[in-house]
Amino acid sequence: MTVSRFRTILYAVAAIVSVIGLADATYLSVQALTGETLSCGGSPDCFRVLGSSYARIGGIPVALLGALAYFSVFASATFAAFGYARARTLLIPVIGAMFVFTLWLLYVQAFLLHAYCRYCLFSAAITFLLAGLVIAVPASQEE
Amino acid sequence: MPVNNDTMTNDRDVASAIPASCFLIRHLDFVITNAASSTTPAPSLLRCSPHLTIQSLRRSFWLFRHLMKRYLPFLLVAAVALAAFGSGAVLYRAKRPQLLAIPETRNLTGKSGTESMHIRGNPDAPVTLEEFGDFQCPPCSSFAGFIEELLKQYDSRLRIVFRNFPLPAHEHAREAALAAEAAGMQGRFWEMHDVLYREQAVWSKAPNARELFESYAGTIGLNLDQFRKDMDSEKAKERVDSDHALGDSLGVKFTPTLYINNQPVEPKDKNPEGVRAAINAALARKSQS
Repeated sequence: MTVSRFRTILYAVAAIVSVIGLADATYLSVQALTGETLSCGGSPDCFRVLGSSYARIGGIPVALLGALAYFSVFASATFAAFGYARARTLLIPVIGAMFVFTLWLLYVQAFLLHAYCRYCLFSAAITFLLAGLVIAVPASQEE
Repeated sequence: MPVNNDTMTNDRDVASAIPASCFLIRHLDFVITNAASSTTPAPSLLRCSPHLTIQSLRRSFWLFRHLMKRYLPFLLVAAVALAAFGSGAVLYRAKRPQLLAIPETRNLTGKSGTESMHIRGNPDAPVTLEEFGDFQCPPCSSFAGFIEELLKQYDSRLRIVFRNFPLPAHEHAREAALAAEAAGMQGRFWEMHDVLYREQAVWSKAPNARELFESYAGTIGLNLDQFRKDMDSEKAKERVDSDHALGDSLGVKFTPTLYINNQPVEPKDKNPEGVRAAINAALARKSQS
C-alpha cells in the first residue's frame, strides 16, 4: 500500500468516525434545546452534567458547538481524502481545539460536578480517536 | 500492434445490445471532444458504429469518474449536513413536550375528596405557579429553593401549587409523595415537602426510605401512628394518583413541569430568569384586564 493510499484511508476513517460523533452531538443538542436535560424524566445521567452551567457558553449549548465541530471535521476529512491539501491544514487545528476542550469537559465532570454523562464520555472517546487518526497520518507526506 | 479479435467481438455484441442509446452516447462523445469548437458538425445517427460507441462509453465512464472525484466530496458534505439537520429537527419535534393548558374551569380553591391541592402563598394572588414535581428529582429540589426566593420577591402577588408527579424511574419517589400527602392530612404538607427536598440526597440512596420519612415526620411534629396509617391509606394513594392522572392528561412527561396561570412554561424558560419573566408577564396581563 502506498503512503498516499494509506493517508486517504485514514482521512476516510476520520470522516466516518466524525459522523458518529456528529450523531451523538446532535442528540445531545436536541436534549439541550428541548430542555430535557434540565428535568428528570430524560436521561438520568445527563441532566446533572448537561443541566449544569458548564453545559452552555453564552447561552449556546456546548453540544451544539460540538455538533458544528464534528461537522467541520467531517467536511475537512472528506475533502482531505479526495486530495484537497487545504482541508488537511484545517483539520489539524480543529481536532486540536476539540481535544483541548474535551480535556476541560472531562475535568469539569470529574472534579467540579462529580458526575459523568455517558454521551459526553462517548464524545470524548470519539475526539481522542480522531486525534489519534490525525497523528497517524504520515507527517512527511503533509503538503 | 496485435488486435484482440475476441474483445472486439464482445464490444460489438455489447454495442449492438444498446442501439437505442447509440445516438445519445455519440452525442455526449461529441460534446466532450469538441466542446471548444463550435464549427465541428454534430454527429449523425448514421455515423454511429458499434466500435465507436464502446469508445464513447469508455470516455463517458472516464468523464463520470472525473466528475465524481471532483464533486463527490461536495455531495457527501451536503448529504451529511442535510441528514444531521433533518434528523435533529425530527428528533426535536418528537421530544418537545406538547403540554396542554390547564382548563380555566378547574377549581383552584383547595383540596377536597381525592384531589390533592397544596397551596403556598396568598390564596387570592393574581398569579399562580403550579408545579408537577417529583421528590426524588434533583432539579425539583433545586427548584424548591428557588420557590422560596419567588415567594419573598412577589409576596402576596404569587401563590404556589404543588402536584405530585412521581416518576417510575425513581425508586422512592412514590413513597415520598405518599409521605408528603400523609403529612398534608395533618396540615404539614409544606413542612414535609421542604424536608424531603432538603434531605433528598440521603433518603434517595437509603435501602429503606420509609424509616427516614417517619423520622422526618417526628421532626416536624406529626402524630407518628396517624402518619403511618395515612401513608398506607387509600386516600393518600388516590391523591397521588389523581395528581399523576391530571399530569398525564396535560401531557406532562418530565419534572419539574411548570404552569403559570394555567399556561405551560416553555422548557427553555425553566430557569430563574425565564420563570421571573413569565410571572412578570402574567402580572402585567392581570393588571391590564
